[in-house]
Formats: sequence, structure tokens, C-alpha cells
Amino acid sequence: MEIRAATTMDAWKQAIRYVLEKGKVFVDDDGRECHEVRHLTVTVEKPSSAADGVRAMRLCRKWKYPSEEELTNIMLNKEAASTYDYLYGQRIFAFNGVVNQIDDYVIPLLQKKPNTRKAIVSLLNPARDMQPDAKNVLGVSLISFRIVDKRLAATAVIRTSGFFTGWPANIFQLARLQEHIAHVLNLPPGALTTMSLHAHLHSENFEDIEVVLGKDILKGVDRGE
Amino acid sequence: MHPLDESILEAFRRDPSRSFTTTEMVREVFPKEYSQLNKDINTEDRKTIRKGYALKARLHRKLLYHINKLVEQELLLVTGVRGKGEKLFQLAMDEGELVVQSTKRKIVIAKPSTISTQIDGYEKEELIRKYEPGTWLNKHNAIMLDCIAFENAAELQQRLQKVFTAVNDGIALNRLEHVLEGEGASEFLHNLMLDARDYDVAVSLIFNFPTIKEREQILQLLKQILPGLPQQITIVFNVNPRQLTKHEAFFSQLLGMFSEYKQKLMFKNSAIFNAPIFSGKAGPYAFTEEDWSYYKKHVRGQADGCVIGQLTLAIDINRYFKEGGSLTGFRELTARAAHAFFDVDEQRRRHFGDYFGFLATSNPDATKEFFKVGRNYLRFWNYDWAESEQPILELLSSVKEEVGKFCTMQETIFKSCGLPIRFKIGLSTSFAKFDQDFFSDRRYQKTAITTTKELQTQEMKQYLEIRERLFKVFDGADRLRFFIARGVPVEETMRIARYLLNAYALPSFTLDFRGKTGELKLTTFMEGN
Repeated sequence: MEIRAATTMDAWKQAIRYVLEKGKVFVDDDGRECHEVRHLTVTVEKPSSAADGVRAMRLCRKWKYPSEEELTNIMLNKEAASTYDYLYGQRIFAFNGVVNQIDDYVIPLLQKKPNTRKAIVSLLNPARDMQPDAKNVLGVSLISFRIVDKRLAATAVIRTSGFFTGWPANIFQLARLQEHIAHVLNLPPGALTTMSLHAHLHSENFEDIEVVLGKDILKGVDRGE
Repeated sequence: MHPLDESILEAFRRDPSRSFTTTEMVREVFPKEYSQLNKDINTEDRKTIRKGYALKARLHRKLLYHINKLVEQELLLVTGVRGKGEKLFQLAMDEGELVVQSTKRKIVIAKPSTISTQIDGYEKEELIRKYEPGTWLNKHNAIMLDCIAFENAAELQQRLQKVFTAVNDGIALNRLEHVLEGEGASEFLHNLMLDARDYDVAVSLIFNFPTIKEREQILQLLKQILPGLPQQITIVFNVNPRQLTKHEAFFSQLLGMFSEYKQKLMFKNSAIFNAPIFSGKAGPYAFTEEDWSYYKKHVRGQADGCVIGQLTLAIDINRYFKEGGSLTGFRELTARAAHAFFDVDEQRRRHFGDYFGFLATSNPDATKEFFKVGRNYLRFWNYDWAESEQPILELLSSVKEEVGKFCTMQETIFKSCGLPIRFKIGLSTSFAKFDQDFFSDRRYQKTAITTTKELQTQEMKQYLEIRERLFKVFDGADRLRFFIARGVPVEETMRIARYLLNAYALPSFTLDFRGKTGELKLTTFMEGN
């Protein structure tokens, strides 16, 4: 399934309604009930609106949602020393402590070959992540950059995506990275797409979804129960 | 910039809110020399003592020259005088970032501003209190070092020099027998006692009885330190009832020594609770069983210990309800406290490198694991279930559940955003030392245990059963202390210890031989909170 929308909020709302309507109910490893669809593609045509989802989530007083600053830092800062199990920034800019996939590969490659389809960034590290008892395995696994119609388009493959709590942060982080590369290439950012292998919503969040996105969001939705 | 100027600023970089005396700065800048001069000063030989004092004066003069230079440059301030006229120095900035460029390097000192949280209003109303608010952002409450990770006492002492500056409450040295059975044990203990006193940090020396190889040596070492044991040091023995019975001679000797020198001895019952339990000044610390399993599987072998306590808040339950607080309001207060912990955690993550980077080891994975099992503590004072009109145990259990849900929700949200954080809050009791001005005062008739029979009364039975339940609510982070009256024979004390280990599911208890003087507060009799 592919959802396309001009803005982040529209794309997000459509995706949530789709997961609720079409999702299969199952209980995840943490014992929580989920609604899940497989292979959901969501495209935001104007990634400049990417922060809107994060801002909406931060308005809710029930929880603390990561700030735009912290999310940006995680994505762009390779040296964000901390206690996180992994950092997207480190995987992107200093994979294994040495490989800068953006400055040493993606940007020079796109500068040299604007039509290339090889400008990809790999975040998963099988040697570290593929442990049977690993609790935290990265969601964003692969990001592809391509120049389409003189704009820098980006597509991310997400292993599993919590569409209510996680996706607004993911799209924001990806937009920041896309913007960073586009700026160096002197191009405007193009469409931003996420391809979620597994897109889910936790049943416990249904009320919260209405709080954040408004009562109408679930109106007329057959939750497939 | 002179290297000594850099070293002084480096000490402030690690602890930007702190005021240092010259002596404290000598210890920071010249750790080896300071250790030597302390050793010299505390010998019996007059010549060596003179040598120690001469070295101390020389180091003071040398350092003062550089400190005064930094004062002239308006980087430092004289903020007061301590003890016998020793000046106190502090960074000459209220908050923000100070960048000092020397010829070789740049020193960035970040002094945090006071952080606003959702409990500030409650704090003004004196319903909740932060532990050590001055170091709220840049220190941990408690760290445990696993002594089996160290080759010898000297190596452990070196690591401790960093750890002492990183904590504001307690340090636990788990399986200390491992390093004390080697060389340099006496000197190590001597320095440790000085450091605990100087830094005013509670240090628990935890002995795992089954792995002690040289029992006689350990007894002799304890005999050496017990007469002058500072109040900051607590000795803990991890033992099960069977071992206590089987090695009666050892434990009789041990209890006899504690009784003779009027000290307190804590027993951790390994048959009931696997993980270490220890005390800070603010209250007790413990691992949950889940965290301890994680520690044994993932942290031990990688890191040399771990952070156990991050931040602490305390609520005086008695005062809260006495002043008309409602149950709903209490839940709201604890919920706000949980939010406040999270706000500050975010700040600490942001400045992790500045504040805690110096604790890192050469192995980045080990460093991560070192910080993996820490918890924030919400502590309670004066929660007397017998007098209270509120169902305290039920209330605490439900608060634990609600706070736990908030932690899980935060971890889930952040994980789904690509920020796999750990955020946990534990409930525990608070000690009076947390903040005596803040807590309400409660008085109890003085009582001390003289025989096992006193533990077998109906009233005591009920009391101990409630304490068992409290230990569960607090995941082991509780303290149960029995004062042993003067003159109780060792055989009877052994019977008391055996009874408490066998008859109840109490993870730990302390036998305190310091006697009874005058009317005691709750804090000094059968202390629970």
C-alpha cells in the first residue's frame, strides 16, 4: 500500500487510519496488543512540514516526547556520547567508528553521478545487532538518496514502525538528514518516503491518538476487531 | 597556560557547581602526592609525619600560586572560608559555558543553570525535596564497583578517585574480599576511610561470604579499621542462613568485634535476595532482580561496575496528609515527580560527555554498560502504617505501578523514535540524613533488642511481616535496623541474626551495637524510614 500526501500531518493521519482499518491484531514480544500491516509506504511531498508531527506529540502532557533538538542530534551527530544502545548518527557518519557514509560516499557520489541509484546508507550492523537476545535493534535500516527532477528525494526502509509514537520522529529525523545533504548538493529537498516492513499501532494508544490528532481521526474507522 | 592551571580548571570542569578548598584541590591535582602525604601524616614515626606535613605545605603553596592567578584572571572566585581559615574557591560564573583556550587545548566548562521541572511548585510548598539539588545535573547518587574486575587494591583505589568525584551519595564495593586478600589492603582501607570522610560519601564494603578465601585475614583487617570507622562506612556481609550456622565461629568472632567497637553490621540474606543492597546518606539502594540478571549477563565482564542511583526526590508522607493532602493529590504529586525525573534525565543525556565522560573507559561498550542499570529514586519519609489513616502499603504499591507504567511508556516512545534509552524509577525509604531540616520529626520510645524472644512477640511478628511486604514494594531498597542493647552476649546476638535470617523473608537487616542514649527518633530505632 502506498500513501501520498503533501504534508506530514496528512500523511500521518491517513497512515494511522489505514493501519487501524487493515491491521491484523496480534500480541507483540512485550505482551502488548498491536494492529499491524506489512509493507506500508508513506510519501510526504513537502518534507519541510516534517516537524509538525513531533510538535503535535509534544503538546500532550501525558508523556514526554523527544525534542526536535535531541532528535536532530541523534541523527546528525556522530559523537553524541551517551548511554543509548545505538545512535543513528554514529551509524550514518561513523559506521564502525570509521565509515562516514554521507561525507565520504553519498555526497561525492551524487556530485559525480547525479543519476546514480547507488547512493544508499546502511544502518544495520549484523555483527552487533543480530543477536538473538538483543532488546534494541534499529528501526531505520537503510536510506536511499536520489536526485529526481532536480530535487533530492530520500527513501528509508524501516524494519518496524510504531506509526503513532515513532513515525513522527522518524520522518523528522530523515528530513533533517535529507536537508543536510541537499544543502551541500545545493538542491532543494524532494519527496521523502518511508517504507515500513511492519507498520503497527498499539491498542493502548487509541485514546491518545484521538487526543493528539483529534476526535475525527478514528471516525468511521472499522478497526477490524 | 601552565599545566597546573589546566589541571585546576579540569577539576572544575568535572564538577562545575562545587566549591573547593585548597586541600581538596591538592587532592584533585596531585592525587599520588596527596595519598603519600596522608599516609605519612598518619604514621607513628615523627620524622615521617614531619615529612608529610612539609609535603602538604609545599603542595599548598605551589597550588595556591596558580589558584590566585586564576582568581586574578577572574576565572575563579573566593567564596568563603572553611575550617581553620582555608579559603573556598568556585568558578566565577553563574551558569553557561566557559571556554578557556590554552596553547595546546581548549577547556570547555559547562555550568548548568537551575533546571525548571514540574515539581518546582510542590517544592516551594515543601511537599517534595530534591536530594543535593546543586549537583542535580552533574552527579549520580550511587555507583557500585565490582571488585572482581580489579587486579588489586591499588587499581581499585585509582578507579575510586574518579568515582568519588562522580557521586553525591553512596558507593558500594561489591565482593571486596577479592582485593583485600592481596597486597596493600591495610593502606587501601586507610585511604578509603579518609576519602569517604573527605568527600562525605557513604561507602559500603560488601563481603560475599562464600567467596572469602582468607577469612582470618579479613577479620584482622576489620579489627584494624573498626575502632576508627567513620560514620560514612558500612560493612555488609552477604550470607545465607545455612552458611551462618555452618561458620558459627567466624560470625561469632565478627559480631563480637562489632559489639566491642560499637559499630553496625549489615547482613544481606542471599537466600532471599540475590542482588547487592547498600546504603547512601539519602537512603538504601538495590538492584531489582531483573536488573541484577542483566548486570550479571551483560555488564559484569564488560564494565567494572555500574551506576545504581541517578537522582533522588523525597516526600514526607506524614506531613503531606497531615496538612490535608488527598490521595488523588498524592498520586498527582508522584506523577509530577516522575515527569521531573524524565526532564532532568534528558538534560543529563544532552550533557553526558561534559558531566560523566570522565568516568568512561577505553572500551565504549563497557562505558555504555556502566550506565545501563541506574534508576531514579522516589523516597518516602514518615510513612507510619500503624498511625496513618491512609492505607500506606496499598498506596505505595499503586504508586509503584503507576510510576512503572510511565517509565515503560517513556522507554517505548523513545525507542520507537530511534532513541533507545533506559528510564526507571524505584521507590524506597528515605533516611533522616537526606535533609533533616525538611523532614518532619517523629519521636519513639527508646527500645533495643536484648533477646531473640523480643522478636517473637505478636507485635514484633506483625511488624516484621509488614517489613517483608515493604521490602517487596521497594524491590529490596529498604533498611531494617535493630539496636542491640549493651551487654548482650555474642551467643544471643548470633541467635538474633540466625532468627532474622531464617524466620522472615527479609532481604537485609542491620544489627547496630552503638547502644541507646536518651530518647531516640524513629531514625535511630528499628529504623525503616
